[in-house]
Amino acid sequence: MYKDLDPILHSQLRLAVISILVTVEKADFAYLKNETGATSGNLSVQITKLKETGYIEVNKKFKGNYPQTTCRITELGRQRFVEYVKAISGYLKPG
Amino acid sequence: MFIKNLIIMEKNLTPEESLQIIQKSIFHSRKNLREGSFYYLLWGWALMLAGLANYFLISHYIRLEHYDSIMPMSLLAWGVFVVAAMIIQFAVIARSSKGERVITHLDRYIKIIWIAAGLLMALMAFLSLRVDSYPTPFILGVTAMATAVSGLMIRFRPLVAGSAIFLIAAVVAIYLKGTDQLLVFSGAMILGYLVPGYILRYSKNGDHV
Repeated sequence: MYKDLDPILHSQLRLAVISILVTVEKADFAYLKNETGATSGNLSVQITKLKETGYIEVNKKFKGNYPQTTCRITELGRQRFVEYVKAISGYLKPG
Repeated sequence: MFIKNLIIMEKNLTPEESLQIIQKSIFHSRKNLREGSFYYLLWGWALMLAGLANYFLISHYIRLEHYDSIMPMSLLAWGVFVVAAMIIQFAVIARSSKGERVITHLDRYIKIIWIAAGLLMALMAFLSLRVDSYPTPFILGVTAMATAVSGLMIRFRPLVAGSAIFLIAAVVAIYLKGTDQLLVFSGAMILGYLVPGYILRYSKNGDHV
């Protein structure tokens, strides 16, 4: 079922993360966690997966005593997101 | 909880569900533009007070006929207010970045415009002093441009109207003597920055984009 849909994006949380990142310059872990309502563990796993596939860039640094993980979508991620949206709109068209 | 979530994530989504996730995420991540009001209020107050301080300071030294004191005292007065505003701005940014943080494309563009405007203002101040003219009208002109672009980008009409105030103030100021230019400058800060800034801060719906 829906085999031509990108399996990396065809997942609830990863799709939510990419959809947020496509609209902003960059967002940190706390923002993504709050917007998606995901648990830290789950979000961390999905962010790692998106990073490994090259869809997003992850920058980890310390700001004072606070660790800050910032995510930004890559050109590849943006391209795959557009393809994914095209693919699902194909399914949504009547007939 | 962790494993349960992972299982949920791997279930097969329908295209309708995918579309819902995309729509929800895109609409959710719109930033509240009210946050931007902080900058207009901070700089509006700082520059308005700096203009007034300069007006009284320069008038005072002219009365005493201490003409040599005018330039250094004026630079000092501008410096105190601008540096104070910069310190407050950096402190507020540093504190907010400890919490959750998102930088939108608009944030980036607006930041670039104001950095360019700041450099241009410094250049205008230098060039005008070189030709023995007061920098006020030229700085108001640059402020008008940067305010207009910011207002149009966030689609916030009061700020676009504020930019028109700066433009008018620039033209009016060039016909006035130096000290009176400062009163026009402070008045323009009230109408061009503070009024739109407070409207933005207290608007019911801050997300105009």
